[in-house]
Amino acid sequence: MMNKPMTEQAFFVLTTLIDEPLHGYAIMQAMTDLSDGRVNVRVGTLYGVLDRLSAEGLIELDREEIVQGRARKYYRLSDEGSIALARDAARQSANAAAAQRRLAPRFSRMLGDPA
Amino acid sequence: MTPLEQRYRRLLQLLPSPYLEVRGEEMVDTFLLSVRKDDPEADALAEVVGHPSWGERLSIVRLAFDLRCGGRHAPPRYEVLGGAVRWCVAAIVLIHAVSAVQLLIGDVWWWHTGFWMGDSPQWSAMSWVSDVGAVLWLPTLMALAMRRPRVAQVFAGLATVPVLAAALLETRLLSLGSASMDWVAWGWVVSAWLILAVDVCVVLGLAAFHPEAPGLRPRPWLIRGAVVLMVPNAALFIPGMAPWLLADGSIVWHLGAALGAGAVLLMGRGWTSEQRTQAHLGIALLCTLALARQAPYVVGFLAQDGTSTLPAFFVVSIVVQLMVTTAIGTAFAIAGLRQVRRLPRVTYAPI
Repeated sequence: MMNKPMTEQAFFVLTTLIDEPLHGYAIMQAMTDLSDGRVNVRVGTLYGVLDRLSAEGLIELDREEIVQGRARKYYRLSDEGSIALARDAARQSANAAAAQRRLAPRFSRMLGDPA
Repeated sequence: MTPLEQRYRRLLQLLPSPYLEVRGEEMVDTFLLSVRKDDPEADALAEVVGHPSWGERLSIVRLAFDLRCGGRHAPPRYEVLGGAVRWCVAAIVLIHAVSAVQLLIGDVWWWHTGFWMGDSPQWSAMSWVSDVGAVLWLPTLMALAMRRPRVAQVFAGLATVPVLAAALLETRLLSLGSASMDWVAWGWVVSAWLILAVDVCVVLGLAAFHPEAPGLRPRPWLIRGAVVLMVPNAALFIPGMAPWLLADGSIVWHLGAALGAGAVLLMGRGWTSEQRTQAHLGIALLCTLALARQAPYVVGFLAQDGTSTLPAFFVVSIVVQLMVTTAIGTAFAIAGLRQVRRLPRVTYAPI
C-alpha cells in the first residue's frame, strides 16, 4: 500500500484503468487525454510506472492477447489500487480546496479594487 | 521486422536481459503503436527511416538505470548494486563537501594572515568560478541529507560547470603550447577530463537515490569521518609544513576510501549481509574513481624526463596513496563480488 503521495504519472495510470482494463499504448493515450495533453509519457517511463504499481499490488494483469506475434497485456485496477487512488484523489482535492478557500478573498479584493 | 522495430529492439538491449524476456515484446508492441499516425504513407515511411525519439531513448536509459539501481522491489543483486552506487555517490559528495569547507577555511586563513590574493590581478576569474563550483557541493550534501536528490542533482550539475571549464582550459593550453610531448601536460589534460567524468557520474548516480531507496542519514560516525578527512589539508596551516608535501588534493579521496573501508570493517559486523555487500562494492567503486581521476597525471609526472626534479617524498607519498587505494579497492571488490555471486540470479516474474 502506498503511504507517500503518488506521482502524477502513477495517479493518471490508475485513473485510466478505473473504467476498463487497458493495454500499454491505450494507457498512454488515455493519460494524454485525461490530462489535456499535459502528461505525455514515453514507453520506458510507462513501464517503469507499471512495474512499480504492479509490485505495490495496485494494478493486476487482466488478460494477454497475441497480436501480430507480440504479447499485448491488459492491466486492471486492483481493489487496493482503487483505495489508494481514492485516498490520493481526496488528498489532492483537500489541497485544492484549501488553496481555493484562501485565494477566494484575494481575488474578491483584486476584482473589487480597480487600482 | 521493419528497420524501425530493429532500431527499437537494439535500444531495448540496454535493459537487463531477464527484464527484456518478460517485458520486451510488450514494449515493442506499445512503441510501434505509439509511433503510428493513421496515415498509411507516413507510417510506411516511418517504418523504414524512422528512429526512436530522443525522449524515447532517454526513457529507456532511465529505465535501465532504475532497474539496475533498484529499490524495494528489485531483484537482490540489483538492490545491492543500487546500494553500492548510493554508497559511492554519498562518499564522493561528502569528500567534495569536506574539500569545500577546507577551501573556505583556507580562504579565511590566508585573508587573516595577509596572504589573501582575492583582490590581486593574479587571482583570475577562473579561480573564483572554480571556488564557487567547489562550494556548491555543500548544498548538494545538505539536499541529499534532506532527501531531496533532485535538488542535489541540480547543485551537483552546477558544480561540474567549472570543472568542464577547467578541462577545456587545460586542453586549450596543451594545444597552444609547444610541448606536445610534455607528459606532465598530457597527464593533466587526461586527468582534467577524468575528474569531469567522475563528477558527471556523481550527478547521474544521484538518480539512484530514488524515492524507494534509503536516503543518506547523518550518522555520528559519518560526521566524525568528515572531520578526520579535513586533517591532511589542515596540516598545511602548521608553520613550517612544506606546502608541496600535501599539494596533491587527491589525498582526501584516498583518505576517504581508507576511512570508509575502516568504518565498514569495524561496524559492518552488525549489518545485514546485503548492507555489507553494498558497502564493499561502494568502497571498491570509490577507490576505482579515486584512482581514475588521479592516475593519468601521476603517470605523466613519473614518465617525464625531469622526474628527478620532483621532491622524493612527494613521489613516494603519491605512489603509496595509489598503492593503498588499489589494495583496498581490490580487496573490497573481491569480497563484494563473492557475496553478490551468492545472491539469487536476477529474474523477473511475469505480471
